[in-house]
This record gives sequence, structure tokens and C-alpha cells, in this order.
Amino acid sequence: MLYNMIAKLDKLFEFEQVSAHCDIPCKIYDPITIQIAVLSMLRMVELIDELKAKSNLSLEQQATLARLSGEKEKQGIKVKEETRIIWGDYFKQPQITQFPEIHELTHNIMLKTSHAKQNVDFSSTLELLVLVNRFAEIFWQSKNIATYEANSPYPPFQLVTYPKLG
Amino acid sequence: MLGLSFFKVNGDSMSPKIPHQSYILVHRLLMRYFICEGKRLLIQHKTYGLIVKKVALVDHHGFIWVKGENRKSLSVEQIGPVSRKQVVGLVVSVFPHYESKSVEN
Repeated sequence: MLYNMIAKLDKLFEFEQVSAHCDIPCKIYDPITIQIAVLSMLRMVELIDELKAKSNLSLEQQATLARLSGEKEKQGIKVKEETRIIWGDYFKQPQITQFPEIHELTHNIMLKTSHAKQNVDFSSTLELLVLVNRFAEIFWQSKNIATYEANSPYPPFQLVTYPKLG
Repeated sequence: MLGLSFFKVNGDSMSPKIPHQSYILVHRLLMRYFICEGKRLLIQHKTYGLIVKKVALVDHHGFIWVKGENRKSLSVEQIGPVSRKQVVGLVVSVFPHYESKSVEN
């Protein structure tokens, strides 16, 4: 209510604006954060599946399950957030013209991430990794940087698209 | 009036204490006496313009080091030291703007 009163005063007197900006155009973008987040989701699914095999869960195991599913959720949110930032801030008309599939691909990443968050489904989360790898490949191609595929050197040991640097 | 002015805040670096589109009441006279860690200041910054930030520390040279309220903010080092002359005022009250947000699937 107090806020609304001040907002009305603002309309009348037009208060000076002050910045609390955090979105400085630093040009630092890297899809690896998205790929690592998906790998983390896959690893969480693996660990949850290990618990699924048990008939009864002890209190400690229930606590572990809560932590694992919470982390899977957190990483899923990160996938969406980081993808949206690169799609929204990095991709501009020249890159969109060069890679017209980027909008549909980004939307598919959103849908697939939602599915991976809502379920404990390894194969579906793996499909998300394929989409995210394609997103990374496009990103590096738009910078004229070649890519290669290699298994992540840590669990879940899945194929990841990396930039060929140096 | 009595050194008090309202300002509208743009940006999320002070969220959740001062969300985007909130109003702050700033006192332009009190600042010299109350600059210490944790206080929120209005600063005229050479690079970033008029900004609102929180005091991280005041060093032994009298320079003020400020930060945002969340991890998305510019870091203390990026903002750099601020002299007392750059301080426009002290935030004495916050009128936060809360907007409804959809829950992601």
C-alpha cells in the first residue's frame, strides 16, 4: 500500500532513477556451464537410481534422496537460466541468420529440461545433453572455433562437445 | 525536504533487499556520520553512474568499498574504491517492489 502511494507520487514528480545493474555487457559467454549442469543432472539421476534399487530407505538414505533430487532441480534451473542468457544476450541477428534453428533448439532445451526436472529419467536427460551439445556446437561455430566430442573425464562419462582452443 | 529524497531503483543487484523497481528514501546529510559496513549508499560512480550499493568495508585510507546484495552484482573489485565525495546519500528506508513470478516447470 505504501509502495503504491509512493508510485503515485513518482508519476507526479518523476523521481530520479538509480541503477542497481548487474547485467554489464562483459561479453563473457560459455555454454560449458550449461553442459556441466546437464552432466550434473545425469549424475543425480544415476545416484537416485542406485537408491531406487533398495527396497527400504533408511532415514539417512531418505535425506540423501532429498539432497539428490534438490540438486537435480537446481541444476535444471541453471540449464534454463544459462541457455536463456546466451540465447537472449549473445545471439543477435547475424548469428540468427547463420543458424536459424537456434530459436527452436532453445525452446526444445526448455521443454526437455522441464521433463528432466519432473522425472527421474536417464535416457530423457541424455537427450537433453544432445540438445545442449548442439547448442554449444552452434555457439562455437558462430565464433569460427572448431569443436570436438569427447567423453567427460568424470561421471557420468557422457559425450560432450568441447571447443578446440589453442 | 530535510535532505530526504525518493529514488526509483533499476536492476537486480540489490535484490532481494531492494528488488528491481523499488523505491528508496535517501538522506543527503546523514551520510558523513553513518558510513560503516552494511549501510546502503547512493553513489555517483565514474563508470556506472548513479548507483545504490552496500558498504563492504571502509579502509584505513578512508576509501569505501561497496558491493551488491547478491552474486549477480558487480564485485567489490570491479566497482573499486569510492571516495566520500562520491557518496550522494544514505539509504534510510526501502519500499520494495514485489512482483508475482511464475514457477518454472
